Amino acid sequence: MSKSVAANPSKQGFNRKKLISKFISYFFLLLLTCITIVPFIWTVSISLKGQNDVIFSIPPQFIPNTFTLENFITVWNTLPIPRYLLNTVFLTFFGVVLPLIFCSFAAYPLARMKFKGMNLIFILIIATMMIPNEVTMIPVYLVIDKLGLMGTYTGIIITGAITPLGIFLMRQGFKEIPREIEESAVIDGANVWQIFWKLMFPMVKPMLGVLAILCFISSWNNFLWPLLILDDPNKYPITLGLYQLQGAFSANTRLIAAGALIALIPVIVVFIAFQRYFIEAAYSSSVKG
Amino acid sequence: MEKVKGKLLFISLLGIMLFLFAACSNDSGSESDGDQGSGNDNEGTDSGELAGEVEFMTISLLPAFEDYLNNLKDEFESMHPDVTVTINDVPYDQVEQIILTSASSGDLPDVMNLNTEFVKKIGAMGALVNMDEAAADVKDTFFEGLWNTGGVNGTVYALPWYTTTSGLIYNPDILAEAGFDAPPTTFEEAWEMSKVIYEETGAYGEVIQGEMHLLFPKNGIPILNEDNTAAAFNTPEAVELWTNLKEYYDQGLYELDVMLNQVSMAELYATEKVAWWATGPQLFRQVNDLSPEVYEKSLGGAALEGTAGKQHANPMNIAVSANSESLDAAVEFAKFVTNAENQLEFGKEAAVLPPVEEAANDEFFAQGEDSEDATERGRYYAAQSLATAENMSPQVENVSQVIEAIQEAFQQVILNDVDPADALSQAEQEVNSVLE
Repeated sequence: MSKSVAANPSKQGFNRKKLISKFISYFFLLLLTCITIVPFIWTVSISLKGQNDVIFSIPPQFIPNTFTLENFITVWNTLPIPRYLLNTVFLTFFGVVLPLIFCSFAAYPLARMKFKGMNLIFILIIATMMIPNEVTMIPVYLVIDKLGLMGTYTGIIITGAITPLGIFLMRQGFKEIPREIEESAVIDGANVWQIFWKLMFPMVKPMLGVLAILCFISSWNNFLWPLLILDDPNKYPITLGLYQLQGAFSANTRLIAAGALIALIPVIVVFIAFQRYFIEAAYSSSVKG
Repeated sequence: MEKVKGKLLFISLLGIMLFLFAACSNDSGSESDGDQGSGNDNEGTDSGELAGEVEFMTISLLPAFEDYLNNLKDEFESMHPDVTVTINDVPYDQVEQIILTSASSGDLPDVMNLNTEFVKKIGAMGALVNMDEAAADVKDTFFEGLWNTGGVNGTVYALPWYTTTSGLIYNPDILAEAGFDAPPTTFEEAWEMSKVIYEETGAYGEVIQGEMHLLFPKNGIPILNEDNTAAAFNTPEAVELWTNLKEYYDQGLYELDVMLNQVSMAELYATEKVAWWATGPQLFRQVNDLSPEVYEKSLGGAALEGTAGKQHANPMNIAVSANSESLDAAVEFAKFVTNAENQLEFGKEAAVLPPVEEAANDEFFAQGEDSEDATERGRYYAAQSLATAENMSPQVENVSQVIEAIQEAFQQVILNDVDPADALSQAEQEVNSVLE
């Protein structure tokens, strides 16, 4: 009896300590969540507010006086949203698939083959990551212009078809696969292409997923290149299309909020579907990069 | 063996690259040949009727003014059946990127809606048509002060399309709480009132906004000398002006948030944290979007005057690319867009003002003095100041650097307690080196 009494307080103390530390960490996590989610809730709230509702007031008012879906309807009616979304999906599809293929093509030899100047090539590729986009913007624009690709989707897609970050990530992916697997394939008589396509490529799936997510985000949000290259509003992706809600003299914040949410929904769906990979993406691009 | 293989690979790669380069240069060669050919074709038809394609770049006007722009297009095309006009609207924030990239590849839109700063930048690059010559026939229809806004280094490169002068939107409730029944009319009065308003209500009165360099010319201090070759603002009057502003800041009469783009005036005004907002009446309705209640009780008035008694006009211009393949049609379209009739029409739609005298004298702009609506009343006062208004921004290519130097010096005074006289001479030096 006395033993159990003696044992309990220490266990309780331990539990309490654990509880307190858990409580503190959850408290801060919740706080962080609240801070990061406020802009989103704010946007949702504005998008649901009627024309006579106050947007800016102190203290801020989150729950609209008059709930209305009018803003969404207005946005839907003033802009060809389905058209824009379709354009974005098209661009994003190629913006994801092409880098997966091309970056793997470039990364595999860099990870697995031995040839003269291999390191130099790799360093040169990585070095381009240090050049800011603003510097390469005009030369790339000129190249696209000279290729006669102005106003075409091809012009946009090739600007992102292969990225140094992608090559870097895929190289890491290939490096992690044990050499023995490759060697056994050689013994079985597979040639280089078969080894790459049938064996190695399927094995780097996790890294492909990571790259796909990064490419998805950047393609979906791509604004600059469509802006510079496209001149026909019917070809605009959603990011560019939504910008039309911001006029020269007026910007109806309610409509902009509604438009932003419409554009966000597909991203949220993709996020929920690939949540697991997202975390991995964050890891592999930060820890290893 | 491996070495030989490597060499072979290297050589073949080199060969492929050379081939690609050659292919590219061939391509561009034939393309430019084609361009010249079509250019000649155009000149051939120019002697008779106008022909060609005209791309018209507007800034953030779609979809709000879609009908108006399409009407312009249709009307012009029916006047000149061989001309096709395409309208390409771009977001305001991105104009610089688009213009600079397309200018560097010689691929500017034929007709462009540009603000005065861009006209100066691109005009100085030699990429725009000289309007003193190309539009000499319509020059006299514009207000002289506004015609000159498209100028840099003594040449005018753009036609004024629409312009805005300031009005004042004010909150009578805040004024009444502080014991005033009318808004201020001069800056001096404004700061006096600001003190009382701040003490009585905690709200701000006058606020230093982004374009604080304009306070110089508004108070009779020239920004640059007459030939635009050196700074001229380092005067005892300017020292006094900045010393006063520093004092007001120390008294808590205003924050720098607005000037530093941390917060927009529309938001401040809509949350009743500021008693008045001096800006173009076309922007008053932003308040209505943010807080209909505050807009409802607001009234419109005349912009504040400095000791010079003059107002700043902030025009949007229409410029034509010097490389345009259908140059004559493009110039004709630019004149068409800026003629009295079309300017008046646009002024009515957008609550902006026309720089063509005939349009500005239309009775439409003489209405609204007693209007309950802040925008209408503001527009009345803004239109009244149009005849004497001028664009006070320096007429030089590096105008944005000049403005930045002045703003930064002012921030030094406010935030780092630098002596106004020192800050002004520092800014003077910087502006002089920019202009060299």
